[in-house]
Amino acid sequence: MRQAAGVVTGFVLALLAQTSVIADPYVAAAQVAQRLGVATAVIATDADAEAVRQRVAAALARPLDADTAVEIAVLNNRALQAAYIAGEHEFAALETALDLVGETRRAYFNAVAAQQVASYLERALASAEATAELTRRLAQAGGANRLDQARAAELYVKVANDVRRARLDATLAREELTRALGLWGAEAGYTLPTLPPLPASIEVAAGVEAEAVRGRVDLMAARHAVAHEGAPAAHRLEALAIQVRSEVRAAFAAYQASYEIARAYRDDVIPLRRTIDEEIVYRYNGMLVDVFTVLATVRESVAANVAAISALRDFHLAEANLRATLIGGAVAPTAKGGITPHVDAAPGGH
Amino acid sequence: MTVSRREMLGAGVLLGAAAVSGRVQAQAVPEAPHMPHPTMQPPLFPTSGPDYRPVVTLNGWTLPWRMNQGWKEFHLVAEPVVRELAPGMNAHLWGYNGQSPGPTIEAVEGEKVRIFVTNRLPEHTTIHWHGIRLPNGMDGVGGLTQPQIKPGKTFVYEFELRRSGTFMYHPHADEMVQMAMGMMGMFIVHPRDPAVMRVDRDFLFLLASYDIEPGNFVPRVTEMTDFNLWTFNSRVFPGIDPLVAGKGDRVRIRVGNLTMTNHPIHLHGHEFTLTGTDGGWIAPERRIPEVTTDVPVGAMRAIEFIADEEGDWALHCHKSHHVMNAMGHGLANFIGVQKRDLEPKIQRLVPDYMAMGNAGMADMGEMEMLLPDNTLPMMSGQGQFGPLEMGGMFTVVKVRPGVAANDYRDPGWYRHPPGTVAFEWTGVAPAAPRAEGPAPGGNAVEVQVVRRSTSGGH
Repeated sequence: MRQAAGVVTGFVLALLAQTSVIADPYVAAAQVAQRLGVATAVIATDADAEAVRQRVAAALARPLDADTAVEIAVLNNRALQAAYIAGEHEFAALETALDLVGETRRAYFNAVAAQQVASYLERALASAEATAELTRRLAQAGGANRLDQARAAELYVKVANDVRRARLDATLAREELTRALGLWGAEAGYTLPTLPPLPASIEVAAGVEAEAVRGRVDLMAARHAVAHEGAPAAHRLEALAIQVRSEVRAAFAAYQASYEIARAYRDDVIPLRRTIDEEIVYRYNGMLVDVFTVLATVRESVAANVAAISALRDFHLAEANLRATLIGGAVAPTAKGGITPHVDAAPGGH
Repeated sequence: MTVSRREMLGAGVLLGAAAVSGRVQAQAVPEAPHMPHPTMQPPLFPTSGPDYRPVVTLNGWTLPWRMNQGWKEFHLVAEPVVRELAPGMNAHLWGYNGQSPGPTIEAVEGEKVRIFVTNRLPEHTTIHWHGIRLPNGMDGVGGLTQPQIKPGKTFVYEFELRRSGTFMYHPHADEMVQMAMGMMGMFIVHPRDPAVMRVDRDFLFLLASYDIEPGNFVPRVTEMTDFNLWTFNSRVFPGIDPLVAGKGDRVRIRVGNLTMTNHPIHLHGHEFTLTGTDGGWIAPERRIPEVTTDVPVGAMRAIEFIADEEGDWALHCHKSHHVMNAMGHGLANFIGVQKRDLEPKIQRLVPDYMAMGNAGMADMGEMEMLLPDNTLPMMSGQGQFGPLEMGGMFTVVKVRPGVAANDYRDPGWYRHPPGTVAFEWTGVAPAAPRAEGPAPGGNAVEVQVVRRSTSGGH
């Protein structure tokens, strides 16, 4: 039943499916591998642990993508190992695994987006720094006053605090992912890429409710309970089925809307921002506006790009949620808001 | 210019109810000539009616007419036009017969004029004949002295020209909008005796202001004070024609002001006298020598001088902002601020950024940079010695010997006789006396202010 490397894959499932020894961690692991379509492992020996460690190390050699993060979590998360062994009921390990998958995906997109936002905000900080420095020099030459300087200095501090907050957000989001992945020490120094782009198209709504009713693990468990417990369980099953249908519709609506929002940022807002930036430089060239306006426009653009990153993150979170509503596992509400950088009007003599 | 029998008998075009005197023997509306470009046209010498020395309209033209049984007939068409303010910028204005300002109307004291006005605008209009004595019902004030001319309609104005001088015409219907859109023209009444007030060259232009947001084409018609384009005949430098004169010519310049502020018009190199105002000619013994004359709002002025100094002499409004094109008015003054070292830092954020203004704003006259669409540099133009750094209400009076009587072509830059151009001193500079006062950069109060405010800063 165990492969040499301690890794259970879908290949061994045909055999495992015929056994129904619930307490067997290998059966639980196989069930997880089948339902999730990813490899998992039972870590019972040092050799198992070493095999998993090597696989995790190999996966972490490249910038981490979402599917790889899920694979690592399912292989390496010790809470899941505990669930394999504890085996409280037929679906317990599977439900733990599904929770873990959802949590990993959400943590992944949050961590990647937070890192991107923090790095983008450095531009706002550079702009605020240049504004403050120019105002300081302007004041030395007699072209700005204490009020102008105080405004510019305050802006700089506010933007610097935005950057600090964004860096903290990135650290916290990354730690959440690190916990889901079950990593520590040197392995926790993994590299994150940027968010995957929006897909060219999205799923259609038709059939998603039926798919969820068929595929949701909690519904399977509820059906299973009906066989043992009779009428109360039947009512619970009915209630759950109605709830699942609603959850799917809500998740699909969020998925579709977040796609449209992210696409509007990509196709409209960001190109329009480029036009705005360009036109402001033309106005600077014509001495129609001064450098402070140019720098304030940089901060506006940063805000638009941060909003675009957040919108793309929200789409990926909504997609992860939709997956969870179809198959099972805890669902998180779609993230709202995000960092709003300061885009105060340019100080300096206006 | 003369009308054929066939035209005169042409089937009756119904004319507007404002035709109050003379009762239209004009059975046909005269042709309305159209001007497609802003090039200065040569003076239009009269071939019918009484004789006079015609005027020259900067970047403009005189409206041809026809004589019809003792009446001089003109046809103005009020319509949307595209006016080139200078190469590189077109304004979408309203004007007359293809241009803004409209063509100059020229006639002679004592003549009877009949002016057909066709409205091709989307809203009603009228024409007021600014400064001219006429029957009250011909004064062109919508609602007060006549019904407005609805779109598509033609009205007729008829009056006898009782005094010579410099006049203007403009709408008196939705007047604020229509004047902000460029509807105006000049009306010159020559003395009956061509020997009276005779000059060799008689130039004219109207002062008009526009507020056209950089990148836009139409003026903001609700602006009252903050205009960004100050024009001679709806042109800005370097798009304004030079005033070419032969050495020794007696030159007249007539200026009408239809902006909402006064303009001190200044001529270099000569004294002139004010010879005419809104009210008429000034008797020679009452004329005052000047080098700058203020042209009030809604007023006309005529100045005259003998062009006896050869050269390229600037002629401009002396309000320095009026010799600029569109520019920002809230810009920080970076004079004396070193910021070159910050340039790479800002360029990382804005790749096309270039530091400007460290020493002044003359960078602008020297650099060619990308600007918003349909926007002129705030200062431009190139002279023989370098950038001219001008815009707006600026042009050049070019005085040359031996210019033929009716030659108004630009003779190019003046060829200065050797030793008559300011030159760089290469010897030992004599000691320069200095005024008493604070040493440069030594304003102790300012330095203290800076020190205090930076102490709690970033």
